[in-house]
Amino acid sequence: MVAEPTGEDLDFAQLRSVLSRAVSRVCPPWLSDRKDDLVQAATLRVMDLWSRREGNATFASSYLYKVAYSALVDEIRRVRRRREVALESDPEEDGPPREFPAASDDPERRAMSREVGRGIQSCLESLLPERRQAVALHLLGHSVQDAARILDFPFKRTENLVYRGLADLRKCLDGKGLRP
Amino acid sequence: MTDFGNDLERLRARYVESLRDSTTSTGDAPDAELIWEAVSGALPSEERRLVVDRVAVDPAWAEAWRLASEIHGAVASQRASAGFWQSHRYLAAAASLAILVGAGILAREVLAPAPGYRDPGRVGIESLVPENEAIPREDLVLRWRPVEAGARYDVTVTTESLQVVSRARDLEAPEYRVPVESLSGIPSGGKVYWQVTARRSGGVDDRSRTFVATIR
Repeated sequence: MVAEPTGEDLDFAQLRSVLSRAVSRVCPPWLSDRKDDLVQAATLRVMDLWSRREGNATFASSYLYKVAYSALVDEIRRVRRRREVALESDPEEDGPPREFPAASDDPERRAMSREVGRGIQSCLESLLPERRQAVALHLLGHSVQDAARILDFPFKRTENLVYRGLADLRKCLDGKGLRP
Repeated sequence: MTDFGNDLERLRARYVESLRDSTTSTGDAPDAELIWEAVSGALPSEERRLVVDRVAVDPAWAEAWRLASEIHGAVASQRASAGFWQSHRYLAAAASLAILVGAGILAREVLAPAPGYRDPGRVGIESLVPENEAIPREDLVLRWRPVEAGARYDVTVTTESLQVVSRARDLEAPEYRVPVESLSGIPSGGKVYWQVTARRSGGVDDRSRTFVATIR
């Protein structure tokens, strides 16, 4: 049994490193280019909370990570909103550029890829709820075992939901004339 | 179970790309706290499934879910790693001893604690500003130990409520005098947070922890 570290033991450099890696892996390039600002704001939110603690009170590190995560989600939403406003008002405005494809990208292929992506989203909505949940988790990178744990279903049942859900998804995409 | 193999990988790639393209700020903001509780398993399973269902149909929620999974996974593996070394501290000590003796390092360093949550091996940027003394606002000079010759530094200074009060980029010297006018909103006894990023010659950035300075 490992004692959970308290805020007193929390290494803020480590916290930043974890947040930074998560932003790099999850967010689109234009947003992850701003990860330093995003991560700094989230880290400072935690430090702020920590500095306001009363007396010798400490926080569990999991709580501080949750605070940092919530701050990060807020920041990302704020940056996205600002970008949308900038693009609506003046595309030449300061701010991250639109994601132009790299020179080597085939625009047609890229457009098709986006259409397939949108098709997957739309088809997911049409799946039966339990299949949709299992398939969504699987598409988000969770193993069947992981999905079973999250959904609190037996492994076999989850495997079945993923299998049937993926079959439904492919059928739906076929119906739209889309191939991944 | 049939494995869709490459087809599954393509589906995943297209799905994740589409999430990145379509996570606009329209619609309800993702409920970060709820998502975190679901990812960490703290939420009852019935509610967890509802969150997953929302994640399945809302790109912004899906992005927030992926972030939570990344962060939670990293924290869990750090904790597992710390747990391993704590429960094998004699093994860790023996391994450290063998390495350190072999390297001819002083024996007293063997008594250093086993690796824990804090990474004792990492040499960070070190502040030369005392944190327990209030500094006159007109003389707030942030100093730190240089990381290497030729390194350049960026510094960000913020209030306790995260407002950036001053920022400097591309400093050659390992110090920064904070303009007194930028501190006008900070009361006597108030604190500022500051952080340094060092850019080394090899293009590697090294970021300090966030330091605190008290103003008077």
